[in-house]
Amino acid sequence: MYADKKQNQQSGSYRGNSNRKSWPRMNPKNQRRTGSSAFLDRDGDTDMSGGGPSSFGGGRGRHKNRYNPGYGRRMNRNKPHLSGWWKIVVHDADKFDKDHFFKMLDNTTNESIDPQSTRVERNKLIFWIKNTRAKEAIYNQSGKLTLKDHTITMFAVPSEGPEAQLTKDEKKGKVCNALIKRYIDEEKKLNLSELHKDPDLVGMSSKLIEIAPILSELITEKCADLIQEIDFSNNSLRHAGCLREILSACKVITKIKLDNNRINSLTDIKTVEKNASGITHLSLLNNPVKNLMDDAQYISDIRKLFPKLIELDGVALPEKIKFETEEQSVLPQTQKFAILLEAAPKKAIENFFLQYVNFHDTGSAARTQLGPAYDETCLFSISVAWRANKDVKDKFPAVMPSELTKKNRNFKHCYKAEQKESRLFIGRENVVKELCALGETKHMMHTMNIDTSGMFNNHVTAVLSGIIDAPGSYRTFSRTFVVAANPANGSFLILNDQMSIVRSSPDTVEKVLKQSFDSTPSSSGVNNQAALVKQVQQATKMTDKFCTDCLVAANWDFQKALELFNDKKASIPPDAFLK
Amino acid sequence: MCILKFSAMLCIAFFIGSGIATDIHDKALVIASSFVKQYYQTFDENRSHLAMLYRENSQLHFEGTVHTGREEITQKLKSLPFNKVQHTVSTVDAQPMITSQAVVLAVTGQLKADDDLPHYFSETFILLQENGSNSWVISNQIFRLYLHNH
Repeated sequence: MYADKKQNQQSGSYRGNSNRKSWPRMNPKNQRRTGSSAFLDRDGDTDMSGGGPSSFGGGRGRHKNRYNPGYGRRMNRNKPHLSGWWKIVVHDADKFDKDHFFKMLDNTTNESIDPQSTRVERNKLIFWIKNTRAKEAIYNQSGKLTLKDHTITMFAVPSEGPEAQLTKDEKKGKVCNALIKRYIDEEKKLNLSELHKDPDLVGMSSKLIEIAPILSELITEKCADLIQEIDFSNNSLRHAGCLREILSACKVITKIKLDNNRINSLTDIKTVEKNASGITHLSLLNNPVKNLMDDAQYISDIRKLFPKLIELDGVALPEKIKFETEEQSVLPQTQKFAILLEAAPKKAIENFFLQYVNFHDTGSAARTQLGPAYDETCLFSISVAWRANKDVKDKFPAVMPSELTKKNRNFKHCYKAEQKESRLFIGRENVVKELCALGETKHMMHTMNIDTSGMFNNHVTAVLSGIIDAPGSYRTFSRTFVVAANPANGSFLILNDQMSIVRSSPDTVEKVLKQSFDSTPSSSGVNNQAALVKQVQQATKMTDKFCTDCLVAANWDFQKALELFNDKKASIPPDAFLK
Repeated sequence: MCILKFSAMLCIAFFIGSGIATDIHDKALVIASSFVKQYYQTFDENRSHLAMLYRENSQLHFEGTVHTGREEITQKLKSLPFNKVQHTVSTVDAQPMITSQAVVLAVTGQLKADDDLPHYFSETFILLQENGSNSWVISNQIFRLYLHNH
């Protein structure tokens, strides 16, 4: 993006310069060019010591890499620029008149510009100059000159020399030479890898994107019916759109390679799908798309686009597994699925889990006692979604609690198979260890639901859902257990434990607290005390401490506490209240 | 049992990565995302097409009520009192059940019905592979709605 591979001999680096007032405020359309503007050379003959405060920190070179995104890429900035030529590129050539432009340049820069090989290519005005001072002047004027309300943006890059303006036929001839040696007849394969480096194409712009039309013409003329395989690797392709004509010309193509490009998503290869959907071999190695998608999803989507594919990224694809919802013939009666649980076992399971939750809430250390409830070969994983929000109240933090971040196995965020594997805890010891590593929890019992569903083999699925009050956050959770029931002695063993956590929203918690506000608490156990404090807080909006004091004074009687508050309201200091 | 034909036949195909995933661990990983996507897409478009995923003994626990068997479940889903619905999934997690060769799939997310505000929901599926074939069916399904909006 920053460096055209041919132009990496720039000899200077961008340094903070007070004259570059235009840099951050460029014509919005050209903002994407800020990177290449880093090419602009600040070579020796520029006066660096003068000028006012540098707009980008430090003086000469001191903070040169601070705002320069291209800094790290141009390590060969000291390579000498032998030819002395500069290629000047002016954008939006259709917006201004060339003659006016050159006249204006001459006037404002007081240098003789002497442009060579001027041409317009792809809406850019390109010309070459040898006068370095002229180049500096042009560089300074970029973003300042306006012609007919259009601000001119110009860039200078070091260059070998003016590229001859080749006629189409000349270009075609060169490309043809290049293609001849790249076509392998025995394999019916055309190798277009690294086209821009081809020695036959020196002297013309030879990026694949730019010469695609010429390529497609040549291919159509010569070998459209023959080519079965094309290698498009190493061409910095972001999008397969430029390959449209080439692909539609090749009638019998079966293998396509797009390794080492810049494909970011599968929509970028839509063109390939449209024009070459019958391919059997495809390779997208070393493209960003593979890191941005879940592996299984990637393979699944690719096979939907290319149904005849038998090899992807060098690996053979096996036969499909279908998840079919088509009617099968009559099912074998012997296969049992779910069984309806009767009341007694259901109650037993609910009690089992209520006890479980109690142990869980007692404390992290106490959870080792949950060990025997788990089977030897049990499984446990956590899946979290934490929607950040603008509110900054203490119990609704925008950031996932740290104890959960490293264990999050949410398939929507955890793409790699190895990661998913490492976050699935197997075996009683591991699982109990993980449970103890979870922070303190307090299941808000009045929010909880337990759903139980009978399965085959005397298994039961139980889903606990509700809200957990954890230090620093309220969490809405849903915990799925698969339990094996031992009908003989009525004991249960947990086989699977899956916990899904979502950040509770303030609305939810408000409602929940309000519900507990309505129901009068039965005893004054520690849990209830905390709940009472919250209730009083809800009603009076005082701080925790004051609410607790109020309740203590009222002997933990909610109504009395409210009365006390109302009586004393006038004399309560303002900092007793929540902000 | 008569063979029912629906106007739109659902065929959810998904594919495995390197090697054939005979291992239930791998299968769980592979089918999770695809199933979730396909299920909720179908649900949102036309939930009566989900019928084929259920069998005779499949069970649906919906907010406390139990429904067994394809007809009952389809009936329940069809009778849900909204015209249009949209699911957005926030978490997906799948675990294999090694001894039974089944997959436990836990999903949470938000759903928006008609003009209501979105509500959180959580849904758990137990998926089984049918004897002798490659297709997966739902054995148990538990759905809970958190009637609190966000």
